[in-house]
Amino acid sequence: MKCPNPDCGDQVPDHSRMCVVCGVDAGVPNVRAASLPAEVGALDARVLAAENNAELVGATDVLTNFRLALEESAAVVCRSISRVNELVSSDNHLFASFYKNVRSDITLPEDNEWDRIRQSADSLLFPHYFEDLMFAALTLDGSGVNGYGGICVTLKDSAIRERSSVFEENAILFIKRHRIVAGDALPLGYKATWTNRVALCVAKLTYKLTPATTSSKYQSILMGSTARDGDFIEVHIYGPLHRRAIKHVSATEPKRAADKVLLRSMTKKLLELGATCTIN
Amino acid sequence: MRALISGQASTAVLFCDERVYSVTLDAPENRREREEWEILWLFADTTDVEQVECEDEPKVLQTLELAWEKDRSLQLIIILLDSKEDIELRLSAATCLDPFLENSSVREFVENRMYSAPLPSSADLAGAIHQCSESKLQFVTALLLALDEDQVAINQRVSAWEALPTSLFGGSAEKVAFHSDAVHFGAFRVFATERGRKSWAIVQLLNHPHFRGSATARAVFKEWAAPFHETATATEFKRAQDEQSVYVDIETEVHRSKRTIKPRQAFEQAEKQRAAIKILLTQGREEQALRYTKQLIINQRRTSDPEHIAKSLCDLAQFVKGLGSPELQLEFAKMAIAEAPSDSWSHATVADAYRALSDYPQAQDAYYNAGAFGDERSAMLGRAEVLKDIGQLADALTILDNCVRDFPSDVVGRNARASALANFGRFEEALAAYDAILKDWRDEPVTMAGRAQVLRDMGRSEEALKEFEYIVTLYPDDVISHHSRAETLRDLGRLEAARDTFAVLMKRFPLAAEMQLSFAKTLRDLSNFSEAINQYKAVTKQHPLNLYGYVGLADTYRKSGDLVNALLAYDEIISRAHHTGFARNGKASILALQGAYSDALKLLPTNLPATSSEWVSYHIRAMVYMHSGKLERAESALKWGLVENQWALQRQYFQTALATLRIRQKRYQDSIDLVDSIAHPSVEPIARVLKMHAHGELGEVSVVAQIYNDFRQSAAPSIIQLREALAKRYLVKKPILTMDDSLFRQECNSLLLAA
Repeated sequence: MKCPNPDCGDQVPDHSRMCVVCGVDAGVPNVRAASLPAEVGALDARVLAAENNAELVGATDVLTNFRLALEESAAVVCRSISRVNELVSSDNHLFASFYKNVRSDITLPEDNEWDRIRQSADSLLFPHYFEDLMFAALTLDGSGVNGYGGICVTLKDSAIRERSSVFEENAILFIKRHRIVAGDALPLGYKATWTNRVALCVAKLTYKLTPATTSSKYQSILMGSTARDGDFIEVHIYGPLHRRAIKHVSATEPKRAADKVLLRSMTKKLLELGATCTIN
Repeated sequence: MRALISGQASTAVLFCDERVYSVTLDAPENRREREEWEILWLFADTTDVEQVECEDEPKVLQTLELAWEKDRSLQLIIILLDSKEDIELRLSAATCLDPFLENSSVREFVENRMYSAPLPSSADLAGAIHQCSESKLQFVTALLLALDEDQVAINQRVSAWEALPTSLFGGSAEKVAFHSDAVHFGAFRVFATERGRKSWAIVQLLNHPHFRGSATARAVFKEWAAPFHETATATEFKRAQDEQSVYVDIETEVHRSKRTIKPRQAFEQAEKQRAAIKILLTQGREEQALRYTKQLIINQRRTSDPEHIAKSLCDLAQFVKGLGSPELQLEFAKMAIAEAPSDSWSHATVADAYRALSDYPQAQDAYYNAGAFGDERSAMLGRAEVLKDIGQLADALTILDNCVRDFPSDVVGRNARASALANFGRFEEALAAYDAILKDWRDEPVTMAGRAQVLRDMGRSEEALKEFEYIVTLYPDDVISHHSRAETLRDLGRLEAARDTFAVLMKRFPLAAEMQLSFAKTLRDLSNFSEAINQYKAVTKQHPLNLYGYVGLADTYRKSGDLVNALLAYDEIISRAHHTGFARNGKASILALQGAYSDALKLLPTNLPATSSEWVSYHIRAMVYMHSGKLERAESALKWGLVENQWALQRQYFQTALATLRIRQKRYQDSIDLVDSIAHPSVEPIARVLKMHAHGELGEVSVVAQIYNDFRQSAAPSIIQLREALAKRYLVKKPILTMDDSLFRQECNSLLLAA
């Protein structure tokens, strides 16, 4: 895209947030990619097809209700208690002084699996800015994708709206299913900005709606029960998470004493931040 | 089994054949199959992902448990210190934390971080100490008390750190990265806690495997320590008289007055027992030898002073060192310290054993103790030798200069200095140093032998031979000079003469394993591989504690092309002695030859090279890149190695490797320039074939013919093969052209076989 600075107008690389010539903020790369007219147009076409399909099967009213429910959808990340505790304690000087230094890449061997997996994802999905993204899932009830950390953290809409985009499903699985190789463009119509997320959900999920579908089923339609299918709407959030972006946390009571202590500490701090918390 | 683990996520992902599955600490029996993309979600933004290699799943879980304890311990201590947390929660945190801190590895992890910054004002250290001591949480209390006592020192060290210019690191991002490393490896902690032992901390850090190979790290630590007048070359050894040693002194006095047996009798008794133990050790009967040793100690406690017991044990330690077992040497030396904790010679013996085991931080610690307990000369010499081992010549020379100044009538320090110069390629200076010594100590055998060795290293083998012959005439029982003389015959390619000489020397010095080993090596040079193998096997039987027999066996299998047996032989050595880099290097080079690059790299150290063995490993790493076609990476590694490598011999291996690459890149003159000056007998043959190749491509056929005709008999089979292929390419009327790729491969293979 061209730099938004009228006095510059130079081409901003796809992966770069700032114009490399004049330094103006060109917007976060994932949101820019989802806002491209071709992308929006292709998605609109899919939405139209979905709406027609709903009409054919007599599920238009259900679709309307589904849409309304999706307006209240949120992004949820699943993390371990350790990471969440660190996040909510990030303004704590003790944490800032002593916990920030934990780093493992000192001891990772060459050609290790962790680097390989991340580099592979980087080259396939978001060349040069993969490390800047956080991956979340879209949820209606605060539950996250099963099996990726005991704590589900629901994020405030206001904290992510301007820097998030959504994708049809887990991006890596999508690429494999569509046999896309590094350097190929992704097919159009499978991503959207955060504010247009309802459209993507409609385009993807309408075919699962029947006239008998009730609102209690919406969450399981949105997020498949088998996590390995990658069947959820993936949210891509640019930039780090701040503790004040947390709206709600739901957690399972840990088994280990040390984790129970962390949970208690974390819960107290969440309440101080104005976030809510449920422990099962 | 390979696994990724994260203590923060309390999750492990295991890679087992084609399966990938995860387990968590909360439900270890629950194995979940995983796709690759799921690993990104499992570990998300954790910062402590490690890759581990374990025998089985339980070991992976054990490693994960430790990682989890470390992470939780750090978080718990932060909660404990936080004045904003309620008292009950803080106490719960302390109660959970205490048992974790019983594990020294966890405690060190926490301390490394807690010493990296002074406590902020929100920390309630006094309250935490009070709570923990009231609740009798001994480990937490001890840590907090130490932290309290060290706050001033922490503040000073952190301030000194912050004052370090970013240019020292190469930039602010580099300074941040170095800070992480310094915290992780305990630099802040060591500087603060060891301030009472002058310069001990900087010596330890400069010997640390992660830092010692990095010129930047060395410069950073020196500048960081400078405001505190701490230097790597300091030779003051401060000793704190503690209650324990006072008690020991009193005990000794009481014990002495109770003795009734006469000294002469006691000495003879001990001598007999030691002789019996030595026989057992020679036969490789370690367990029995150790049992007898315990009996020796019990007997000597009744009849001798602690220093005499320590002397007995040190004598056994030196004996077993001669047999080739630094592990046993350490064991005996530690027993000596247990009997006489303030005996400086025992500490020096421990240090020597650690040095042989390549545990340089421990070696430096023990040398420091030797100095603190009165033997400053041994301490200085030992420290200098360790610095030499890790490639820090300048500091080694400084300490040796101090040693010569402080002990002017001691020849050992002066010889050590000359030897250090030679190790790092400063041959002319080494010769001059040896000549200066010989002016004051005419015909001193060690000096003369050192001088002759320098000539050998310079490729001046005829001169070296003459000098060794002179030494053995003057000192007919000097085993080392006899051995070196015969080895020089090998260098000169006079293999039959070398073989016959070693045969005679084996009879003359039947206990000297090095004669038998060299005899076997010469048989190998003569391509009598099966005889060489039999000879090495005989050495392992006669000298079961000597690793070099096993190494020779493995190397012979490798050079003869029997890679299967070579791998088995290297595995045998690795299982006997984990510390030996050369067995891992040998095995890695074979795996690389077989194309198992990933397995080869796993055997090699990941820290920047500093010791001679680490540089060999780094060379093999570069060869793996080259062999696997990663030529850019190979070039980068070789060029860096040529700049940073202080070891004269190792540099020549890097030169030949880079020369091979230059031929591949068709930069023939550059290749010739790299190998022209190579003279060391172990590298010179491969350098010759590369010169043949490069001159051949430049059309200089007469030069090729000259080199071909001057080839020494002792070249390895792979090099002979290469030589012949090149001769057929350039020297015959109807040339037989071997493909460039094939030649490159053969050259890489030769370098790997020679590594």
